[in-house]
Amino acid sequence: MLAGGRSLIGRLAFLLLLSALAASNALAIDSHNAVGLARDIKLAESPEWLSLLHYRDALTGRESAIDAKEFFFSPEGRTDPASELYATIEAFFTPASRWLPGSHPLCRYPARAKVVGEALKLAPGDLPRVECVEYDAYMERLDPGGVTLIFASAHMESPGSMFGHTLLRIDSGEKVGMLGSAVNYAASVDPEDNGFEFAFKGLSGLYPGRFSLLPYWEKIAEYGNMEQRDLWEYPLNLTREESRLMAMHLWEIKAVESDYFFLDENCSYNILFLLEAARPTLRLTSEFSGWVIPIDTVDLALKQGVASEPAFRPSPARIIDTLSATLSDEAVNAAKKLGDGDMEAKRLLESTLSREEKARALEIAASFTQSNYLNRRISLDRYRTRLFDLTTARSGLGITDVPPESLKIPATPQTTHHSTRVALTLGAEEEEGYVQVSLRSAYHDLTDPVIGFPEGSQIQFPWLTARKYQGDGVVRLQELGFVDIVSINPIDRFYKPLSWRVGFSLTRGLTTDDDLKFLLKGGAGGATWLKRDKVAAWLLATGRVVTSPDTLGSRVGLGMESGLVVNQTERARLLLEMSAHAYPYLGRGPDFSVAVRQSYGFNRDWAALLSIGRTKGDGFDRDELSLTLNYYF
Amino acid sequence: MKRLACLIVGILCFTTVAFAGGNTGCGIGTMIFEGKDGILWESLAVTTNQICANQTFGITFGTLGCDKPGSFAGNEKLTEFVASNLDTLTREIAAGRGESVNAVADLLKVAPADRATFSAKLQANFTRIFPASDVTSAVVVDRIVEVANS
Repeated sequence: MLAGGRSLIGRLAFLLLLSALAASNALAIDSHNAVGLARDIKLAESPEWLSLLHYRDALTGRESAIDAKEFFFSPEGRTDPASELYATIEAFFTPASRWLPGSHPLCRYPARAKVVGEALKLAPGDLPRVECVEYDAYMERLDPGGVTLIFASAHMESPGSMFGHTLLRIDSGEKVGMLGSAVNYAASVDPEDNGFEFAFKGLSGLYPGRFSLLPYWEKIAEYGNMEQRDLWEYPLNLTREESRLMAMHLWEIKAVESDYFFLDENCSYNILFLLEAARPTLRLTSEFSGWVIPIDTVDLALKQGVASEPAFRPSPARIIDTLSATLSDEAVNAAKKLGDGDMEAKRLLESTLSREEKARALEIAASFTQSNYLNRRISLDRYRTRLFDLTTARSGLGITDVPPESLKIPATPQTTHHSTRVALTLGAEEEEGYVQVSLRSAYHDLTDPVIGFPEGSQIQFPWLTARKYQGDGVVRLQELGFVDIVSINPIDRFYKPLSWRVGFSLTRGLTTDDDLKFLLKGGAGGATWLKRDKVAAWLLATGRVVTSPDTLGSRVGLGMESGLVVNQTERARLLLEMSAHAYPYLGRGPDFSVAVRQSYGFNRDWAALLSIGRTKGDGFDRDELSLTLNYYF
Repeated sequence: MKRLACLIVGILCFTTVAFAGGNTGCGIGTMIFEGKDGILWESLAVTTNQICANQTFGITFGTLGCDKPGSFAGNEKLTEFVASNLDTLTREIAAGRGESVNAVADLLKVAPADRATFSAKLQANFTRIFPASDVTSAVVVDRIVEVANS
């Protein structure tokens, strides 16, 4: 048959056979060829592949941020992108019969399948045909068309909330935001853990973190109705295809747990991986080494052009506040009575208030009633009756205009000063000059520019201050601070929160000898606006415990702290503080302190502070004057 | 103690969605979020950041154990939405505006140009949609659909 020339048909048949074999080889790509091709095109080093495995550059080469072994097909997958790629390709080619329905690797890793399929130019018939019922239902339900980055801002009564929280929202088409799907990364906390276990585990990565997907309306209810926090919604310019790819990747990591580190591998950090999977050219996670503060991730997304100006979703408390400001006193009083159940809607309808005022009062009262119920201040029966009464009355008043004031949007989170602060101070204490340097890791105190932050919130931890007097050659530790939290919450017609503070530090200036002492202080009281958003005053009953580090001898003081803050302009701020404590059982005199502090914020990065104060105690009386330059980064 | 630690590290512990009532009627006030309890909590009146535990992954349609409306079929999303957001929806239908009303309009495929009219129509028919304080979400869905089609 091979003999040349003997049989034309034979040669033709042979050629046909050869080309048929060649053609079928080209069609029947197997895992071996695919791996070879992937190697040739260096797919394992492509951003498309690396982003799906959450690889980061570590000291010893690449390492995935995902700790769970089950996420990888290769035993070296966590540190070797190539071995993981080839093992994944092998897994993709395994026949469907070897897997339970819906659990074939192609169903479990749709994003990887897409990236591999496109890079290797695989045809639909090349890979095994599989049915992915759950995955298909998931994608159909989500119907990803776009993605929004959500930032939950701080609530006044919660200084810790100043750190913020970020999550993503998958939107489908042009749908109403409320109908989107929220993607949230959080720690799985054991409810049995006590406070210290909780703090310790959160900081050291002993809680597993995982993604969850839930209706966005649930998040609105949590943040808005429960925690009274505003939400900022930053639209992302991900295309429909990129959004789909993100949803596909989310499916891949949905059950995977990573170690949750409160400080760095937290909610904000982990959702960045989803954005990088959607658009591998984005450099987000690599920009962070060390602390990750949620607002910084938003700033980065804005800087890289993937996020744009946010829409604002006010919390119900803020809406009540802005609506109340448009009403007469009579109407606000009525709204409060209605909300408390002290007045029936019928009475309001009979009053001489205008239709608009009645409508707004009823809306405020209904919202306030819902808040009362969610915070367990009233029973279900009372709630239902009251809400029904108020809403029925409101419906009868018809359509009214939205007051323009209620559409006012506060300063965006992008106006806040950065989280870490370094300060240089020139001062004089009792006419002896000094230079002082201070470093504070986080976050915001009452003298810092308040724009973008709630009034009266302070959280600092940790910080270190070193001082050198002009006469001395010595640089001394002036203060080592562990934590200092202040929550000044002015009361209003509707809400009457407590104001409080707690702090612990190692500091000088408390005693005659000016030695370092441990200071534990705390207290509670009330605050009020003297002029809404401009001037606030507070008075707290406080206690303090001063302990000598060497002898551990302590004294306990009881007294008060009071303060006044004036926001003169958007940038200038004046703070007056006063404290007095007596030491009843020790026969020592009381101590007092008073300080006036004028600060000015130039921008997000710089501020200046002029401070004058006096501290007087048993055996000492110190005047102090200083000028400080703060740099935030 | 846990609350104080949460304050200090600026995070807070979990909350879960819970069912307030044991009934299957699912009316106003039956979807609440549990979580805030404890003396320290009440006395400090503090809230902090949240880390949620035990959240489920898939979004499934369910009626969450509630009775299904007559017009359930083809309106699963609407049913779930109304059941989960009944309180806010009640307030916003009464006011004649609001995102939850907009969401209902969207789920009923009301064209954007017609939404103002739609909201006004729902408001005008408030007592038909919410005939009593213990109305269930199933009834509300049915009535909304009736009003929308009228």
